[in-house]
Amino acid sequence: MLRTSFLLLGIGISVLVSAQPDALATLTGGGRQQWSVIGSTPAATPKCTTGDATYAFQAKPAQVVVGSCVNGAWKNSTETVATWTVGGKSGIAFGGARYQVKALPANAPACKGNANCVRLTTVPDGKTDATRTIYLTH
Amino acid sequence: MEKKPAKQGWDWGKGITPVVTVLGISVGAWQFTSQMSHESKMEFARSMYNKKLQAYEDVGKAVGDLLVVPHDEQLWISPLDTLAFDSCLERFRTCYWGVLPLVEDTVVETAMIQFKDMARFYRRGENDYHDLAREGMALMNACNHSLEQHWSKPRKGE
Repeated sequence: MLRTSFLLLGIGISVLVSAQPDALATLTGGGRQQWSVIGSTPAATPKCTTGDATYAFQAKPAQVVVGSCVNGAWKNSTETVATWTVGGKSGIAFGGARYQVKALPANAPACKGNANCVRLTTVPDGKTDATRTIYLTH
Repeated sequence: MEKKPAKQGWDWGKGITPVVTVLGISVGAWQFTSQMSHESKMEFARSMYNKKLQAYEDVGKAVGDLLVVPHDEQLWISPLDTLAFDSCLERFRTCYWGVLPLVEDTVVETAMIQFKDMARFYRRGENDYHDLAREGMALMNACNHSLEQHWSKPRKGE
């Protein structure tokens, strides 16, 4: 009886884990997706303000083009994206940081009504106690 | 002709005795200082363990207080609970800054940061109660593991 319960629990957990969307797939949609930080200038706008950022995630090859605003103009840099799994948690890594990815509902205050809303949270690296949270939309 | 006195042989007993005595005293002194050093190290480790235990008990209480705020463990935070939740989060943050410099355990530190972040996300309605409880459990497991490791890991400088 106990063995059956554990087996059922194991199967349940496996189904739940396998049902969770892959972090990279969430961001790439299987191909390529352009994201911008909520509240910042969209990538299509030529003139930007300092602090604006865009992210174009691509599935194959796994990479991200990070657009950042330098002196009012967009500057792009390409980073390789890797996936990671530690202790039941998973996410993506690029630019020297590991991120956990979570799709949020549009009614989450940080999403400001954007339907496609994703949160990227850095994983503490043991060197600093500050974590960074980025809210993206596309 | 005067007879020469018979040459006296080296008295090994007289020669060795002081050497053995000095050696014995030296070994005794070395043993004593070594024992004292071990005792003081153990005393330091014991006091650090007690401090850790006390700190982790405080962390556990702060985590428990946060987790019992939402009535009936409801999935999303209720507006009625936000005030109490903020107050508990404040207490956890006090504990966080008080404990972090003391424990010097990166796993506990990481778990505390992640729980703190998750509490913020739960407060904003981005994560549900299960995520918060999971992070709380992970933090308490990290504390437990840290206490277990305290006596097995080699201390710095050894």
